[in-house]
Amino acid sequence: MAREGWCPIATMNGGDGSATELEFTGIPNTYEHLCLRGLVCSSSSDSFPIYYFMTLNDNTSGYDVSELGNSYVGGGKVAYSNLNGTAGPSAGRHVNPTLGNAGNTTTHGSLGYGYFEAEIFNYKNTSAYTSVNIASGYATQNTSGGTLRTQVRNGHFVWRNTAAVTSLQFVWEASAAWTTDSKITLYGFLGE
Amino acid sequence: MSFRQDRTNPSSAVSNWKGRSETPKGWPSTRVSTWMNGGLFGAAGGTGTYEPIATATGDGSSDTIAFTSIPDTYSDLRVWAVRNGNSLTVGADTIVLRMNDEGSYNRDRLMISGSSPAWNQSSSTSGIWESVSIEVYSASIAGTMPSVYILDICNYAGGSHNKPMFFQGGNPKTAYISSNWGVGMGVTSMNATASTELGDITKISIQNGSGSEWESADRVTLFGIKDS
Repeated sequence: MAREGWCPIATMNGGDGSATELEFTGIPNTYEHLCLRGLVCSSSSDSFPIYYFMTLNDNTSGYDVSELGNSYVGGGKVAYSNLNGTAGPSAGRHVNPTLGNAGNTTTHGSLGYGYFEAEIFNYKNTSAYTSVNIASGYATQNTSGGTLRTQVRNGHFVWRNTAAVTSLQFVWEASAAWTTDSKITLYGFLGE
Repeated sequence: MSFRQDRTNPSSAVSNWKGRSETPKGWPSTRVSTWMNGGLFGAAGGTGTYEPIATATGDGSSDTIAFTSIPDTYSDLRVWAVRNGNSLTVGADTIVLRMNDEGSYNRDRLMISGSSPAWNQSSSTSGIWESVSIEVYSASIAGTMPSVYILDICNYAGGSHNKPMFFQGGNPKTAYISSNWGVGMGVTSMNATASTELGDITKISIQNGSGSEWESADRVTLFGIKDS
């Protein structure tokens, strides 16, 4: 019987602790959809959680982004939307697809890890844009940042490009590095 | 004849994956295509990623469903809870989550919830053992529309860092009939580093916050999620 459902393609850890970008390349077109699950932390020294982003095929523009979230620091509910890569509420955030935010080993120690899941639809469809749905969160709270930082979010973005997605890149804001035991797994969905 | 183990055994290549810090296109060894000869892809063989571990239904008297002796062989856990029963009369209920029979300690928690046109947010640094929750009503009020929850428990069998738990769920009719929160999502995590809180999770208890019983029509399934 043919295999169906979500199939693990690859798991990527944070490298040697100095990598500022993680990447899946050579993604095959044998699946209907893709899914990502991540448990991540940075090695920055910021006193507050920082954002991490994903780009498709190394493109840093052309994304429509919408997200809802909750933040402890700064207080309350937030909603962002941003069309076609125009400037967002803060330069660099919400312009590229924001997966979530998480802590760092300097400030948050062993409690710095955040979670995300993202489903990628139409990734091999060359007649339609690629669409991504995101759920993410980081619960360990922080009262010293003083900056609005969404820490639980539901996001959605569309990449205005019909090219097949063959690679995915993951970066932190301010070029922070990934911790060694950060982990991102890529799944492919087989079936209808 | 020489034999390149890393070209034929995908697990070897996978374990050597690393991020890149400078090289614009990454190291050749990081390319997914490297593994294709190892047979990771393709339609034949393999097993599912979401593996059902156990399913439980209510007994009509207890407010708690528990899964015990959870094996440590997965990457993450996922719980699906479908609440079809009529145990509540009038009023909201919540779902609370307890790990390893934990007592009271601090747990960070954030969530958003809503019902058109309003939405709400909450956060706490002093949770006892309550997890993220939303308000739901019984099937007797909400009709044939069950309340559904998905809970993800990450790093449940890893002892080196925190275990984020992510929650999504709701019942749209709850919002419609009562103007209460019908959909919600949130994240929770321990905010202390006691070894008991970083140890493996082997038991998960899911309780109806009001004390109402789980009924036979209610169904909760625990899945183990694999990585590669």
